[in-house]
Amino acid sequence: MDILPLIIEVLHERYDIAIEAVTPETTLESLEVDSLGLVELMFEVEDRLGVPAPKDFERPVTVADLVKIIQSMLEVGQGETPCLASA
Amino acid sequence: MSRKRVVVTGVGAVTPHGDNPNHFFDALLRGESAIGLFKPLEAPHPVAIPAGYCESFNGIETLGRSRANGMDRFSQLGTVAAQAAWRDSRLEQATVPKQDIGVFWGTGGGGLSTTERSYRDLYLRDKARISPLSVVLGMNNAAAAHIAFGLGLGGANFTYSVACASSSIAIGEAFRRVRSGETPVMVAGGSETPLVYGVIRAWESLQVLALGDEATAPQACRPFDVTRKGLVMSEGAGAIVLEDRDHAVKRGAHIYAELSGYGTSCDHSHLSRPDSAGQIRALSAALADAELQADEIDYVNAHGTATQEGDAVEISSLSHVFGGHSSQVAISATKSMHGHAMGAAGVIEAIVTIMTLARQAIPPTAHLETIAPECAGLRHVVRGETGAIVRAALSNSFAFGGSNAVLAFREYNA
Repeated sequence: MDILPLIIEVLHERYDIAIEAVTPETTLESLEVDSLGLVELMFEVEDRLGVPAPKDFERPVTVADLVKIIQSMLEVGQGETPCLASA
Repeated sequence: MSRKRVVVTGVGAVTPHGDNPNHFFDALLRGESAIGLFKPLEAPHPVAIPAGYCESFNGIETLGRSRANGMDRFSQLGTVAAQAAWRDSRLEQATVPKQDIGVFWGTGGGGLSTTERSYRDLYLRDKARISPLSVVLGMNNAAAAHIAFGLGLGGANFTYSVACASSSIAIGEAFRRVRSGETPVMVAGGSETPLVYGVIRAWESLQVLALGDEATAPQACRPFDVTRKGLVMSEGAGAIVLEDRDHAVKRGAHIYAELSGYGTSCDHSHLSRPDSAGQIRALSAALADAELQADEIDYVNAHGTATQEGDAVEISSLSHVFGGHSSQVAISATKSMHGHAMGAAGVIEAIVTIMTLARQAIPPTAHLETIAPECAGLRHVVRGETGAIVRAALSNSFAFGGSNAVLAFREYNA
């Protein structure tokens, strides 16, 4: 499954981010996706793919990092929801 | 520290009549109701009530998708109203220290849409988790925070939750900050979006809602009338910019009116039954604070929700305070046209009062055909009056919990 278009679609629908503004090298920081935004994004991906996010994962810096995490979600197909937000 | 005079230099609103304060006031002068039959979305059991819904408001179109998605509807309405008031004040062009300017906001229920959606996901849709933004969208101070972010205002940022007096109290407390000289400018107001299924059912259970169908909904709210049956819920937001008079004059600001007094009290007797003694104390406190005599008041924007007991108690309180002057005091309850916006009612009606002074025109109580005997004694305005003489006016907010707040405004004279 091609993950990048899915991420681009979610970023566009949720944050109004232009489709052409997102490449694998784009950093999440430059897209203003903070820790809470990342949790929201992962929840959305979980819902769309029907598989849970891994319990622990290194916080992604770029969109390519995010693609890798989601690919691992599909491979494993199990895990628990992440908890990245800080109060 | 000597007292500063406090004036209103900006107004903004989102109401069932739209988001232009002048057009809103024009509609009120014409006696036009914006109330219609409202059916909440995703209702497990069908329900339809007369209500004032801000139908023309679209948060995503107005704020952009990304910003709107990070806000509950009450924050969206509040942010748009506050931005409009700020633009209207033209303070952005002034050299004013924005780090000193605060936002005092009022809401009764805060992020009710978020709470409702979260419970629906958990209990009806059997979801095991809800949006990670639920807490920050739903919290009562979210609107005030978004307003401060958007305008870059670094002063005190407080939210008052005092049921239907919330935004009047926010205005009154902001007024005190400016009058004391702590800051030259404050943004004050409130927002409320209670038209969600669970909240509607809660109010329905209280047996205080006016009922109606498609045809009768616009006339369902009939304050002071013998046929009055109860209140009509609505949503909305309003914001005003309060400014030190000298500061405003120096920068050549447009001044709508002067806020000259603020009175509060608690009935300390019952959660929902109003008490005249408490209201009289708030009214008297506002007059004393404004250094106004009762016979200087030409208009009262009543709390006037159209409940049997509430309207009668309010008229009794006003008659006591105004005494022999009562029959000359014009009174109207504009909730008959925009509904009861709960925590935002105070600021919306304060804006109506400000416009009454600025334009020397008095909006009516719509649908008032036969004044109930227990509501007689003051000069009920039943048709909009232009060319009126209004020197000073009061705006009443009497909340569940027995909290009363009265704002006293004057026509601005240099």
